Amino acid sequence: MRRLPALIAIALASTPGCGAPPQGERAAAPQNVTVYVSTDRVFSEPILQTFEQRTGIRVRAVYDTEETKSTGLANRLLAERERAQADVFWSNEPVRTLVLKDRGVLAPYHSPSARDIPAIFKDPDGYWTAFSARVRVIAYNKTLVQDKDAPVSVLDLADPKWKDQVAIADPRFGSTSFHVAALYVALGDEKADDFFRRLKANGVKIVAGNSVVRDMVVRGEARLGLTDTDDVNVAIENGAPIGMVMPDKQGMGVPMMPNLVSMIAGAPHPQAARTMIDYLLSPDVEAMLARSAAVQIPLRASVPGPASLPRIDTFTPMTLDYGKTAARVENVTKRLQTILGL
Amino acid sequence: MKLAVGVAWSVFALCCVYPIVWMLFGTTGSGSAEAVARGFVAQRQRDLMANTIGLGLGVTALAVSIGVPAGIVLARCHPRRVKLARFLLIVPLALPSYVPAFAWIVVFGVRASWWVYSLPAAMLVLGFGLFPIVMLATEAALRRVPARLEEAGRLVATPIRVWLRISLPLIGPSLSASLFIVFVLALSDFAVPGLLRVRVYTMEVFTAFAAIYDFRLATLVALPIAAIAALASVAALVFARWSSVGRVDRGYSGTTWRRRTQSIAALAITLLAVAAVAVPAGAIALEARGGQSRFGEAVSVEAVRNTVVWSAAGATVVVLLGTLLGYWRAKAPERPAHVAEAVWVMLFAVPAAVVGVGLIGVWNRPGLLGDMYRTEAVVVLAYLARFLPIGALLCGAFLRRVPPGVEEAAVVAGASSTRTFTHIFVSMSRRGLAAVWLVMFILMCGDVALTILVAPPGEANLGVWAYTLIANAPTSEVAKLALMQMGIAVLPLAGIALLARDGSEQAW
Repeated sequence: MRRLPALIAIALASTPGCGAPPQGERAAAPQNVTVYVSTDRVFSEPILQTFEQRTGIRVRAVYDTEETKSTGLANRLLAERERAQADVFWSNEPVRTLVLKDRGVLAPYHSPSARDIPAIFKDPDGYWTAFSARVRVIAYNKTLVQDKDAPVSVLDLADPKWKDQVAIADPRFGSTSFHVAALYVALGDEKADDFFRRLKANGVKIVAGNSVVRDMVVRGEARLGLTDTDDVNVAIENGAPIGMVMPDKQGMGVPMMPNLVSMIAGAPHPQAARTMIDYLLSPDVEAMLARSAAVQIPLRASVPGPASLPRIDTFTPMTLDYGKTAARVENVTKRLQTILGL
Repeated sequence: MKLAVGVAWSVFALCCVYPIVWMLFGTTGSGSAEAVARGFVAQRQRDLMANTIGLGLGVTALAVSIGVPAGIVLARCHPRRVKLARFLLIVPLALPSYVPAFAWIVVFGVRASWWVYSLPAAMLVLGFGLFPIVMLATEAALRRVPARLEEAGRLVATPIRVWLRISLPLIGPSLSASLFIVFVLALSDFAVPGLLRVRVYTMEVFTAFAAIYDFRLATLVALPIAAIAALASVAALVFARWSSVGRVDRGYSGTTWRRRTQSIAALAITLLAVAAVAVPAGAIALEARGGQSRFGEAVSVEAVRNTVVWSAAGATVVVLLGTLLGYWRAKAPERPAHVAEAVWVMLFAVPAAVVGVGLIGVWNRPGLLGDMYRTEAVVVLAYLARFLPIGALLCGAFLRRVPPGVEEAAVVAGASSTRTFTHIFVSMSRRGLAAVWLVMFILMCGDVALTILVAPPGEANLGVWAYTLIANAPTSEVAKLALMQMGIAVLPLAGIALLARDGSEQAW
């Protein structure tokens, strides 16, 4: 039994990778970059592989999704704040990045690649820069809803004619949390509260994530759903009977959900991090994301967008102060817990 | 032995307790015990907690209804006759809970009836996934019930009376422990309730993390779940004490049915097992037929390797340390032993996300700890933090079955405490400890919540790998991934089943 502690130490040490000298690895292999990615892996992995091929810098990625099954990368970044492990955070929506900026997790970096990205999509202090956006869309089942009957505004989802036929993702999480906060900013608290009360009375189905919304619409469990362009497009490409409407082209504007990229404060590989950020903000990456199944809309009007969606200069995006909207998320979450009975 | 046990307790304190303490006192956040207590008075939180407890009780009841009869059949038949059935019936336990939930939605979702997305549906899906724990515990315990006791009982009493008065009390401690584990696992799950739109209390923990980013609040909100688990452990203890009529000595073999009865029972349970696995697998396979095969080539060998290596290393370390802690439990006075068990139970009920974030806070710092954090060893540490409490509980349960007389004889003969431990306790409990290793391995194989938080960049186990791929995939592709995951989860089980010989099958 005297050997038992030694055996335990051996068992731990024999785990692959254990005992490797990370500091030495840092010094010996500077051509590494660690990126935490919340953009769906099916879309982000090819982009990162291209980066590896072009630069020779090895990418070590941690993926996640916005589905309500994990607590997400933002918490990992917050927990690692005192001793950063990541170099770059690539987020698929603004809320988490803004929370991280607020908590001192991010470092400023003004990328030269972002010069031609509109100012509204850049943090003046350089803590984040946006690129390629998804659009929040109303998805509809084409066998159950004719194209001409599909709603044109998010507010139409509370119309009694769609009673028990609407699905949305849990508004406390992911891109839906930002969208509902944006609605509160755009409509004001009173009107927004009223809308969600009517939505609740209309029997809205609240599900685990945007892809679940899409699947329910495809299966006809719900005729309409509020989700993202990439979710719907994947189903369209797969031949599913689903269509989408970009809502609120007239009125408050089309809700857009750009990717945000940021450098991490105390990043172990700052130079590689800058190279990665420059790459992600390049027109090439916007073009790749536009051509991919994600059908993301480039923020530069000069970059060709997806064939199935209009160019950014042909519609009015919802005008948002991202910081102000993100600051409303916690309050809106608490309001909606009560209103929607979450 | 004192040194070894001291080391085990130190590792336990560092890996299992310290992260939770750090979450409560080492983090900043708006959460306070008063705020949580105030919130608990609100109707909404009471409703959520009622749903959670209802889910836990429903799942436990279902696991008993399926697991106990299945365990009886397995125990009463010759191991060779029920080898296939046992193997198939364990498969649901090896699957991440989203797989049966997904199968459920594929089969019934299109009907969109109220019951498809409901509390009873979540009970069914989770109960189906967790009943093998009860089944294995029932079988293992029944095989140790001396045949002579039941035979003597049958001379004067009906079979039902023999079951209620002799068999059930003798398997009571094992059964109550398995019921408790099922209850706690159901209590802390939110993947299945989330998919089936059931509002449960664990979502409060998730909300504190993912919507408010408040570590302290998330931990405080998790405490009521831990408290309920502790209450459940008291109930399990009371049941075990009420039912326990004495120790079951090793070396006895349990009753087996007559050959003809065995044949019929074995055939019936094999058919049931085939149906239990084939129906969901078939539904998913049908769904997987459509669509482009975008992920067909995406089986990650690396993820499979990680799953097997991390889980094997984690299960081994948990059983090593759990055996030492269990040995302490077997020898300790009653009161400290019960306190230790209560602590183990409460820690096991803490949601994985709280453990994971706490682990990062504790281990991601300069020095040796930080160096380990950057390696794959952190995954093993995370599994240790999550599963050592339950591992210690289970190992303790097996070690306590060693008759005191055997140990006393060894001591009288001059054996040292170390020799007594290795040659008496470990040797006589080796099959039970092997069963604990298997359960730990299976639970670790299916873990996503913890692994996704701590796995080093560029590394993932199969669960995380599949999970990060399925988010935006069409249903047909999710079905393909679910099938792959089913296949790979079954591989280690198949290996163990193939390696098992008739004698070693008793280890189940």
